[in-house]
Amino acid sequence: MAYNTKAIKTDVNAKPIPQYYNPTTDEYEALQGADGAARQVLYGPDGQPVATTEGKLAVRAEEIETLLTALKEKDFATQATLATVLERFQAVEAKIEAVRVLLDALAGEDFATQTTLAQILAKMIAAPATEAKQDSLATLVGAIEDKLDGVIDGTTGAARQVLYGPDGQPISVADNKLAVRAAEIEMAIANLQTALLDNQSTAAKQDALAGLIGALDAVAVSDPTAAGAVIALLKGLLSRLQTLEGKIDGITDGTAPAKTELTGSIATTISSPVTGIKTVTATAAEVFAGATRKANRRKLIIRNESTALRFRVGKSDVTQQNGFPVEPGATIIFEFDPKTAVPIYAISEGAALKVGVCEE
Amino acid sequence: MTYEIIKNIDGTTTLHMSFIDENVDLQGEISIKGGVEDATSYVPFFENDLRCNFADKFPAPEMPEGFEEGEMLE
Repeated sequence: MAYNTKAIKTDVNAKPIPQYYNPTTDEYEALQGADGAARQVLYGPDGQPVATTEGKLAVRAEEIETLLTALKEKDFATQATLATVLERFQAVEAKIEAVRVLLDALAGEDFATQTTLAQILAKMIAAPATEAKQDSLATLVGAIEDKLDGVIDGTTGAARQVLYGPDGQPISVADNKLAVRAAEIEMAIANLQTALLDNQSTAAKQDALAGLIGALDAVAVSDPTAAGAVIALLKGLLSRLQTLEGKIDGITDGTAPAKTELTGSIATTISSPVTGIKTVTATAAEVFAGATRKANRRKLIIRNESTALRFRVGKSDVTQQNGFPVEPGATIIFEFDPKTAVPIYAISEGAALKVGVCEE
Repeated sequence: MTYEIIKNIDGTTTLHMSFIDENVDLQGEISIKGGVEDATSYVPFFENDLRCNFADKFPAPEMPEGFEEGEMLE
């Protein structure tokens, strides 16, 4: 039957009630509910109602619970455990790095091959050093030691030795003596002997030497152009020195003064002096004797011819106060280096006056 | 007599004097402290000194007419 063939449910007032069509019973049935809401049935995508288990939605609850139970039973590592594991991994990594370095070093070594080691081993096995052999060797070494001791302390005499030179040949001997470059030594001695015999002091040589030196009683030779024996020439030189000494004594004690003329001194007049008069006024002006200052002058003499006035001298900035005063009738002398031109200025302290000037 | 004054940078003045115009071969030169005015004031003194010191270069002054040796001029 279909739902449209059935009458819907009504309440006491003949009004339709909340209802639904139940195809199983082929009847409309009143909607049930609780807490103010109507009952609902959940359906899955396959059009079937979602299942429930023990009043709960069967949301694969079993599988989830199984998995949760399994997880709960697992012994998970804690954060502290993981940190410890990480630390150990790092230690292991450092050790691995050290091992890698060692392996690199070993890779660079020139190890003996297996073949080489086998050859050495075979040789040792073929001729091993036995105790008997070592005893024999010790006996022989002891005998050699005893002989060396005998040679050293002279109890058994010295063994014969043959000396060899750097060329690998035995050193030769002559008349049972070592040929220590005997030929060269003999040649040198012979040459020395010849030289001594050829240059020995003979009577003739001594006479010639005596003649050259002369005798103490030889007459002094003071003429430098004359020939003479050494003693005669020395006596002549001594005589001249004594004469010179006497003259020096005469100069120093004043009994025979030396006549000396000095040249090149500024005290010497070497050119004609220039003389003249100059009027000195209250205006400072240069002082010289001629029309201009004498070239290369050595000396400047200025005489104040006034009987009452004085003047002052100095350089170009001379004044009536700072100049050097020259009293009436006084004379002032300046000496110069001829190579340096030095102007001298004069200024009167009062009226104009005349001065006599001389330049050398 | 002619002269020329040259001012120097060191505070002095050079006075150059010549007597060529008087047919006298004489020239003088002197350094004077100060400026042109000071040098100008010294010109007559320098001229007199040169004429005195080099009198032999200048012609002798003529004797007045009627004047005899030993007679004093009035």
